[in-house]
Amino acid sequence: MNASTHLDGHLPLDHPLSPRGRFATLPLLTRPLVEYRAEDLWETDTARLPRALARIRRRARDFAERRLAPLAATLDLADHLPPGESHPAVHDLLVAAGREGWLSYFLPPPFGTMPWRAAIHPPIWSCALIVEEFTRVCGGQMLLLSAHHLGAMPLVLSGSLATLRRFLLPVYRDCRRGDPHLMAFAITEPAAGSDVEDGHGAAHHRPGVVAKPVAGGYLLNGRKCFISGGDLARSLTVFAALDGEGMDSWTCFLVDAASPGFRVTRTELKMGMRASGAAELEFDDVFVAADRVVGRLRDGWALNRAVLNASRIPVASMGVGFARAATEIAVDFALRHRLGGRRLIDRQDVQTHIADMVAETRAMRSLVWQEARHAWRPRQLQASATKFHVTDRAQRVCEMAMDLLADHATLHENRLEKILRDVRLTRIFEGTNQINRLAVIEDWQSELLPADGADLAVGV
Amino acid sequence: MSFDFEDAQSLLSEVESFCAGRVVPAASRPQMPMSGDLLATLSQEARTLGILPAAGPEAGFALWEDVTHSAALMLHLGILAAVARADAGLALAWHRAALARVVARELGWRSAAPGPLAETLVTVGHWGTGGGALARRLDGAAPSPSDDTDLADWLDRRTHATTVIAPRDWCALTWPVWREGTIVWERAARVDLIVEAMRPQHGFDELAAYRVRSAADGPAERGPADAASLRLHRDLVKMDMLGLTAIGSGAIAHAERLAGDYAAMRRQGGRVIAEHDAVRRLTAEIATARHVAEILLTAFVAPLDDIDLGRVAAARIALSDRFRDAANAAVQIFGGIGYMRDTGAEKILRDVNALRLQSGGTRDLAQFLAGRQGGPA
Repeated sequence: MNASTHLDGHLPLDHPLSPRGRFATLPLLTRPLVEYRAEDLWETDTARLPRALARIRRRARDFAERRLAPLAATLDLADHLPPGESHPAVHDLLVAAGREGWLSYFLPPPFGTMPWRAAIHPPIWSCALIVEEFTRVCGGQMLLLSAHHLGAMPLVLSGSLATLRRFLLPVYRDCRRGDPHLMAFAITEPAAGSDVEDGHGAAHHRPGVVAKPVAGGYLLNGRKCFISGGDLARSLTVFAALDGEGMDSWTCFLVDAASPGFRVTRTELKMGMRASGAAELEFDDVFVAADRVVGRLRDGWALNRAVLNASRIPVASMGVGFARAATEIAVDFALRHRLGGRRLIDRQDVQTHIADMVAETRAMRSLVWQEARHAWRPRQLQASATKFHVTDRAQRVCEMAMDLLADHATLHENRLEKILRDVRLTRIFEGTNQINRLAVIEDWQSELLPADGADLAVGV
Repeated sequence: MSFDFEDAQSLLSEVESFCAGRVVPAASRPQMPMSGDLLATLSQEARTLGILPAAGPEAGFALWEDVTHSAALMLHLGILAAVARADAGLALAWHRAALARVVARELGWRSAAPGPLAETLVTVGHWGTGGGALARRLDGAAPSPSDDTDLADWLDRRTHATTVIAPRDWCALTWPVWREGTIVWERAARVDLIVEAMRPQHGFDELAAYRVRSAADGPAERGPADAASLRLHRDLVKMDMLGLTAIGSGAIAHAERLAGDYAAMRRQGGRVIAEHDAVRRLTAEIATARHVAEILLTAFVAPLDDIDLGRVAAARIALSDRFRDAANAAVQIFGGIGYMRDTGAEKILRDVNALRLQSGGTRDLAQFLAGRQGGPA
């Protein structure tokens, strides 16, 4: 079959009225201003990145396609296993990911594996690039690998080189030598989802995990829930209030999962992202030595919010990855599927639908990159706005892809239904998108209410 | 036999009692979908109660049997909404089985198999709704070569596989096919079709997904290619869309109840979340969808012949978007727990998503609507 030279309703490139074909015939001095090479959009965006980040993006895509893609359906459809058990393929994946540096990329050597040339850019940017690539292939495996970095983030932000050297370095080393040492970030409590992500809510919340001072350290008691990766983590950054105090006493403790009294009581049967466990954790007089306090006592709330500010931009990039995958599947379907002898892509109605999806996806990526490239000190307002906007729009793009495939989209084999189940979580975790909207306003207060009573002149 | 609104309301009360007593408990653990046996048992009980059509040729007042009275339409839409308030998958299975009986009765076909869910039906071809080509055909427009090309391919059951969501034990499939230049209705036994069982699909966990093709020269019963067949097709498209919309309204009422109960109990920021404006906004989105659905469905409480096909299509398009947004709002009210299979909110979301994609989906319905040429209602 001959390859088509153009789609229905459009002119071939060699047609006299095709603009791109004519640009090449314009005067020499005009051409540099108007002529362009129509490259693959992913390649175009990759080429726009700083070289070190472009390399990371290519490597992440390669790893995702090589290691995550073959497992995506298997892990999504696997039976729900009891706490303490995981699919055998998960261990192999974690070993490979660790050895290739995907579990230690948040810091450059001597701690982690981020190339030094990339380290001149905010690590959130490279993280966002990696997360998009992993998400595109499998949301669950992306979360399996990314929740670890969330767990390690309090150590990164601890402000203590000793903490990095003593606690993070061994974690990264274990991972690099093929012994996956995963971490998890434990803030959510059974009676508090949003309360631990919102200051106003926290003010009314009675802490569910409490640390009681004892000789040499603290005893932790209580429960955490919905902890991503909590089932496989060997170390956890656990946030607990000091005995008899409120949320303002929240302190981050580095808990060894082998500690007596620590137990994974259940893992949730989730809608999607099923390659990653969401665990309920029980602390029954779990002893944590005083030198395993991350940061300082009572710095936990600030540390928690700083972690969320850092993590919400990569969560937005999950949305980009899902929207991109959905768009790619929709385009592939429209190219392959025919009705009345015509490819669907030749129908104007389908062309406009796909154009909307492409534009939406690229707009999301632009926003994520714009914020990530400046995210050395991520601001809550921008991080939250990016998170809720992109994830809301990403789900809509996934729905558009499903609409295009219609009945075919319900089939697992066509991958969209999994993407929809996976993307749905991005609007809930790292603060529901409602909480993130409120976080925008919370952080904006100082500009909305100038202290000196001056006339309001808010820039947007 | 006369049948009025009082009769319909009385029967609906019985349906609601049956749902409360039998379907709600069966669907009470959303993470554990109903088994095929339970689906069959409930369906047999529903047939005994007269909710589902009997196997014989006589039409009564069971689901989709009588469409000549306003009260009957109220009953049919009410049954599907009531069942969907408990379990949307069961409602879909009943809807499609009842429509298959409509075709069989109209065309004089004997029951293909004894069980109430033995037969299922699809109204569309391999992709989309048939768009403008089907709309023009149903409106009685003169055949055109381009429409015929589209319809012939759309209903080419041998070349293209069609997605079917049905109970696992289905025995026969009724669908429109293209034969000798026109559309006819065909029923084929499962054993005579090429059936590929698929992995678990997006929603309707009680049911299963299949890709189905006709075998070359496979035996099948076929209806005639005449004006009555065209009218039957028009009626089926209407009934299918009305039924899917009614199921959606029931599913959203279910979501509203679950989310409302949770919002009244869950505390955040020192008060129940139902008192937070951000949650109220979500609650209102769900309530709006339900109210609008009830209003629109009330507009279709009329003899089927008096219901305009275009209005039905427009209602399905508009409500599908609202149902989707409302189901998402319910999950959002639950927050993290809404993502877990045991609360039921995420199942309703998947069911509503899958409902939106049934029968060619709602996106292509715009082309169907735009292609209408003002034919019969």
